Amino acid sequence: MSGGIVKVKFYSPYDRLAGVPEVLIEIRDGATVGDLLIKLLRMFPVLTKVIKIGDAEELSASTLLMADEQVVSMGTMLSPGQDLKIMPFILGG
Amino acid sequence: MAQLGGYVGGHYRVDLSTGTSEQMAFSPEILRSFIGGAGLGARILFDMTGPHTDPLGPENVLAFLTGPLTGTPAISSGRHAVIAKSPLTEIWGESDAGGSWGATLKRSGVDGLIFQGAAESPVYLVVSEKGIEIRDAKHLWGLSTLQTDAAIRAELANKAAVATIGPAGEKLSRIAAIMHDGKHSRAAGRCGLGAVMGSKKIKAIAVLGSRRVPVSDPAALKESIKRMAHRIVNKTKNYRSFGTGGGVLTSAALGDLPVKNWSLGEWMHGAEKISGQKMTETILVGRYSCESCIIGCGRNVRIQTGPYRGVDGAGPEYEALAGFGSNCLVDDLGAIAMANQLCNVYGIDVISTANSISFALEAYEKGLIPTELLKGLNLKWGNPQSVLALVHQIGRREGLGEILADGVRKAVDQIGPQAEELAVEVKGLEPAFHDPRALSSIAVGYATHPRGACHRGGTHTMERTPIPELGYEVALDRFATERKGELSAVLHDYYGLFNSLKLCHFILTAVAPSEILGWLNSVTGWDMELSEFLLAGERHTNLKRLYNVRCGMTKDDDRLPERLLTKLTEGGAAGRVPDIGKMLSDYYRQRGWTEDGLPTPEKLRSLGLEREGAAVGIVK
Ligand code: SF4
Repeated sequence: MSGGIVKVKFYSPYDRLAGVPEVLIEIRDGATVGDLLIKLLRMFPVLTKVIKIGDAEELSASTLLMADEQVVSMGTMLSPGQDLKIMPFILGG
Repeated sequence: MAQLGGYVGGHYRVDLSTGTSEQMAFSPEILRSFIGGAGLGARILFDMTGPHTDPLGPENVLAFLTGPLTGTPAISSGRHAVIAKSPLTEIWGESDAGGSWGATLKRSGVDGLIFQGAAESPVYLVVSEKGIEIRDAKHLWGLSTLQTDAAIRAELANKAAVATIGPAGEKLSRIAAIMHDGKHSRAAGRCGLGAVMGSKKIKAIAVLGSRRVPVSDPAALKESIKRMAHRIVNKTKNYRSFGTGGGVLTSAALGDLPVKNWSLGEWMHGAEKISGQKMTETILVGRYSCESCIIGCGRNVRIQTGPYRGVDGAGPEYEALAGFGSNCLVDDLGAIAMANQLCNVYGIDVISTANSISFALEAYEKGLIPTELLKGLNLKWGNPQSVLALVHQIGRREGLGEILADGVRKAVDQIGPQAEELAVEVKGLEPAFHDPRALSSIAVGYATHPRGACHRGGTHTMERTPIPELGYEVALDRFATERKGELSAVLHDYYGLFNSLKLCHFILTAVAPSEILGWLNSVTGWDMELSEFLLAGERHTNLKRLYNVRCGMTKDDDRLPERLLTKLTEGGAAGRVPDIGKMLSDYYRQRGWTEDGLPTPEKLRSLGLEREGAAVGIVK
């Protein structure tokens, strides 16, 4: 098995920052969300301002990552064909 | 004895029937046990009202209460509580507001105002360092909240902060709000306390003052604030960037955003059109903060062309975007901003109003509303004009609004039991727009909160934010049942403390309980330990429970409506239903309550509530 494609959908304002609403990213077998984010931030360095992968607590407090309706974190394994939603995390009001 | 910091000069009882006021003294022990805000309010309401109090009668109490932190430099402390027996739920009624009113009240030398009786004709009050003055308000009766604010500020050389009701409060709508700070609206919206103010014929309360709030150890407070400010700004930056409306997308993705009167689970495409992010890109013209806040979640919006021209001022928060948006299937941000502004102008609670409207849209669709009540009204899901027409009718108590202006439970009484399954409420209070199927602790939080389906119990934001000092070292799975009952109990107490100190909940994820206690000790000069602080929170919740038990509430009222226990078929919470029975048992056990949800005599003794327990017949 040699991996496959994950579709990443950006929500506002990450779509504006990235300049595209979504992107297809190739992952290898056994890749995690963290592996994908490293690739993603290399493709869109501007997103490093808002997606802080170096600090798990800050990442979870500021960014929501959902793969096929499941909340995921850096260590979650991804499967080819999954959709990953990325948006600012805010819950309240 | 050294002066107690944080309190400025006393609480005043104002008898509107006689037009007199007198100081109400609370001993240092009472202040230490009940702190202020909603905690002290529980003590006041328990002592001064009871099961036979008519919420809209002169015997009800209406109290505006600051906390010891209000008006100090403590971050996000510019808040006050409003307390009364609720006309919407007929039990414990609690609401709170930010802005500048509470801090200004303290600068006038007053910690709190406790109203009883009723004036014969409309009045407004001017509270200043010179005292409390009751003025004639016949010229203000009938005006909107914004008109009233402007008129009073003009009379007082633009120096006052004003709390006012609108036409809805005058007409005793049981979902009427009390609005503060004019165009920078901050609402004490929940529980219909605007109607209590209307029943007492108080149109407004203007406050002016320039005294400093005494702080016992200003250097320690300053040092702590300096240390915590960066962390608070960093952890809450999304609130500043997008307002609470930024949560629309998060909630939509999680399945937490209610759709079509809580019946559907997926609306991502619509959410993108009405989110706080979209607001930032389109109609946002500025931001504003409550006093002493460094977050600044308030939105200023303006629309100068098109059908919603005239929107100008406080923009919709998450609750308006979800309530008038997804829950009514309206994906037009301008229309929602207009609906929100109309609520502010009429003085009606956004959450209850929007729930009443989604209820009406569904009842109409199902043919349940008698034609004579409709008077030609043609209601449609997703139609902004339907929503706006109903907001007007509710605000004016006209047409179908005559019924909806008292909330969904009373609307069912009028429309008939066949509408029961569409009415989403707990203990009579319509829920905030967070869905317990997406975050299971909300289920037990809504079912047990002393004021009904309240989102200020904290659980929806805190499931993924560990608080080690409260015994939560790791984030909890959002669908899990385990530990959610316990978490809700702990958070009801801790959030309750914020309502007593008068701090904004939005800093909760960025601060530890011991840090907040540090602020309280620096301000007051107390030497409270964390255990005593947390016990105070538990005391407040238990006293509110006793109040409700005395009003006739039982375990059967700790429930969720069927609609929220029905599986959704799509979206981020598809197929999930919270196990409310198990979580309720855990909640009671955590509290040391019986299986019937009653505090035990031992528990009440440990909290110093023997006298109150005896009044309810629990302590012999
Ligand atoms: S975060 Fe928002 S609601 Fe809270 S105090 Fe600041 S401006 Fe007010």
